[in-house]
Amino acid sequence: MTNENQAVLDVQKIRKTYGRVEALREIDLRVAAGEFLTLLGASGSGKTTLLRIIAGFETPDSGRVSIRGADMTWASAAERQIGMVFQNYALFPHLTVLENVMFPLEMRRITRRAAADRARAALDSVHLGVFGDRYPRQLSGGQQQRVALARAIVFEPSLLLLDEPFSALDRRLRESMQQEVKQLQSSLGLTTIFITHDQEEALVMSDRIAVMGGGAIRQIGTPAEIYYHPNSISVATFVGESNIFEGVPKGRSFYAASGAHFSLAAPTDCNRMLIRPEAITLSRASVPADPREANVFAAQVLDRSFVGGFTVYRVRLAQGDEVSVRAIAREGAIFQPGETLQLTVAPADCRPLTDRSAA
Amino acid sequence: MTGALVHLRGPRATGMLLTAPAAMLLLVLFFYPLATLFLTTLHPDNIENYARVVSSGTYMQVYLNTLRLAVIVTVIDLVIAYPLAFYMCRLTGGSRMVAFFLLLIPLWTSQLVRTYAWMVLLGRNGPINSALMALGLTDTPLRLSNSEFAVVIGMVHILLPYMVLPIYSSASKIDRSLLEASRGLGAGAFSTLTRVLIPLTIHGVLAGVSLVLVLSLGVFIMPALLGGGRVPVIPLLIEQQAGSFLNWAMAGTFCVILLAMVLVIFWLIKLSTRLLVRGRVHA
Repeated sequence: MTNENQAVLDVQKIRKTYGRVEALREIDLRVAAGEFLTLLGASGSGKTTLLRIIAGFETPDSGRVSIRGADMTWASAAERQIGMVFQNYALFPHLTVLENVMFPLEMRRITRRAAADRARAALDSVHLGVFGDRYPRQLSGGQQQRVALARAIVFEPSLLLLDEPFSALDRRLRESMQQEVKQLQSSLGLTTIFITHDQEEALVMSDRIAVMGGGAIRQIGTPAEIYYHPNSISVATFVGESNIFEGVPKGRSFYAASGAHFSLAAPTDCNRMLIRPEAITLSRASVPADPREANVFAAQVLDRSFVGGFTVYRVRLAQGDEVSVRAIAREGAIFQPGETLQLTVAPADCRPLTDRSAA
Repeated sequence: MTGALVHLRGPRATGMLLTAPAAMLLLVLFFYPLATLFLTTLHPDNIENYARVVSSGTYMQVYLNTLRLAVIVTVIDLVIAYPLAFYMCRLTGGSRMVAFFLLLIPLWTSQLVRTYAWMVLLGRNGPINSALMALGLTDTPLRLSNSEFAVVIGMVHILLPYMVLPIYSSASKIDRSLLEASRGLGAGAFSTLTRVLIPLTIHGVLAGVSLVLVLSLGVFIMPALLGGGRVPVIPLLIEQQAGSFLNWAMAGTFCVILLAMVLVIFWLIKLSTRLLVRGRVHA
């Protein structure tokens, strides 16, 4: 996947400023053939600017964009062979569904008949074969989404860009579209860049995630790497829920500012540490534990919220730290506010945040 | 709702109520005189006027000339207005206000004042001739006024807002991402114009074209003051018959034929709308 020769997209040292605002600062990014890469970030993180530079709708102040080895930094959007699905779908309202999908083929001087055949095949692949004669306005949001997708892939682009395509859909439809897009992408082997601010969506869909913030890529890696080994508070808090402790490291120990002592799986010199809420166990029984295998604290339940499959507790350690805990909600094993419990967390789940440059 | 309103409900009734004052005004001040005029021309004493006009090569020439002038003005206005409308869509805040202000000023000034302004500008010793001579582009002043050229310039100027506003209105509704989608899908600038922009603004274009075409068929002041007697158009003939010869019946005949021309143009535009605009009928 990281084979140098296979990079479909190679973005080098891209910078972009709007007036005095630095939208992108020295972005480097390589996307391998067939890879599904997500640019994850809040609004203003620079992800949309980066996507628009890749698509050819904006030009960078400096840096280089190559697609399949060819320098495309100054090429027009039309020359880049990139399929894009816009946030609002951007279907042509005056053309039928079939004509919309035929549009990129006709722009490539493919005969009308061949274009119609290929467009029908593309519509079939998104299960909209029978809607060809309708107008976009006559379709639901999810169907319009599929038309936009068919139109973006029908000309076999080098690269598929998806700009928050699911943000306008309701939750259930969003989940089924996520699956469908992912299946289509992997069956066609489409190199894809996906933009979202929804971390769950990013984790579900991506081969790799680039977490963006402040015009830079904060961290790039597989969903598991990003989730289990975030390098900074900003990544940790953006992806998943987190308990962050500040304190002093000492070999395989970490002393939180409150005085709470944690054993770690490996020595560190980081002064920030993350514990995911689901890595923590609460129990009524007080089981004596080996401090090398488990960190054990006394904790009092402050409040709880029932979220269906699990319950989120807010508890306070005897040392004073407030911690959020996510526990599977088995009926009968629900703790009451005010109860004092035993809190256990494995040393391997206490994860130092390595990037000290970022907050 | 109270009183008479109780019996009228629904959007149709509301629409009738809201348009009633305007409809009354049109009926009394426009339709009534028009009908009277029409009936006068049909009077047995006057009916042969139609034959006189239609069989006269000179009169028909003037009709054709009026139409030709209207088409020239409409085409020029369209060519100017189309890019201008898109440019105005991209403006924001203060600059958009300024653009609208500049566009609408002609509508707020008297046509007579504007025509005199053009007479001054285009005059033998006017600023345009002075500038051309100062630049050495010509030795003797050009005859700019008292010509069809002057009439066209003046008409293009006064009628431009009627072309820009409907096109602006349809252009401003185009989502910019459609243009990006078009470029991204491989369309060059020309294909984007012909395949996306024009189809999406065709309503505005046709509305602007009908307005300017019809209005320019009836313009009187410009041909009268800027044409110097060299630009024969129907409104001048009508004025002559009614004002100088006091032949109201003949003036009415010219009017009715001109009106028939306007109706045919409207009908043709409506027909072409049906042919050009697809997709929207399904709503």
